Amino acid sequence: MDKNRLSIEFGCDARNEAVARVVVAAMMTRINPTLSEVEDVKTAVSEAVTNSIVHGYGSGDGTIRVEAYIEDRTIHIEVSDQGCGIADIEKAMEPMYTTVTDGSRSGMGFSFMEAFMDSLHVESGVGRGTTVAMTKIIGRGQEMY
Amino acid sequence: MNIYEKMGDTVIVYMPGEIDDYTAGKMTEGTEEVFSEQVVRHAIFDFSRTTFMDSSGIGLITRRFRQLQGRGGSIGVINVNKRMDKILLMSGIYRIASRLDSGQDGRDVDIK
Repeated sequence: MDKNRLSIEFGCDARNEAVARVVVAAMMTRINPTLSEVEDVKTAVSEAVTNSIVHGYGSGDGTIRVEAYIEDRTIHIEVSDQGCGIADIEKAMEPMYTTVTDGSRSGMGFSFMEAFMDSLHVESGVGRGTTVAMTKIIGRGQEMY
Repeated sequence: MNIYEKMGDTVIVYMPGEIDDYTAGKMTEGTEEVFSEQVVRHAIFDFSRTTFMDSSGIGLITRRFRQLQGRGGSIGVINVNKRMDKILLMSGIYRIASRLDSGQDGRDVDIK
């Protein structure tokens, strides 16, 4: 395995959302991010992992993998599952769109990932699972908060 | 610490330190009963303990908004730090919730 690579796998327990975002946050400290950059990445990881648990596996059983590596000032993160997959990615990425109709979901997951990261790429197919790849450039000095 | 406090027709919800799908789910469960009382018309979400929130927090707030809107009620947020303000602003939650404190960024106090 590449020295600079992080790879963790965990089960479909919602408490692992916190584990995943904290592990990625710990890894990125080596490139001296601002607190705001760390929070942005933590939020995006939390969204992607939640999607895998809630939508990919319908809160049932399954494995989620989070991989990350750092290249220069950029952190690359991939969150993948082998869940049900997304039929219409474009639709899924629309703000406020959600397939869970019990009123508990905001439909803002992908919007948050897009807002807090510099790039977002979603690969998915029905029955093939979903991989969300995101990057963020650290240290651009645009500290807003 | 209690997760909520009821004062007449208003419920103050004390948001957890980290709001994600897991904790938001617990929060929703824990406040289901009080929000089912028809006398409850207003909710204030207190973020004084909160350091992390993802979109699950937005789901939690909008769910209560829809519930209280049917009773002619309203919702507000209080003790919002800069990070939470950024997230609430981005999600458009201020279109449905009043901010009840001025916050560090000097935004005006807005009490309906």
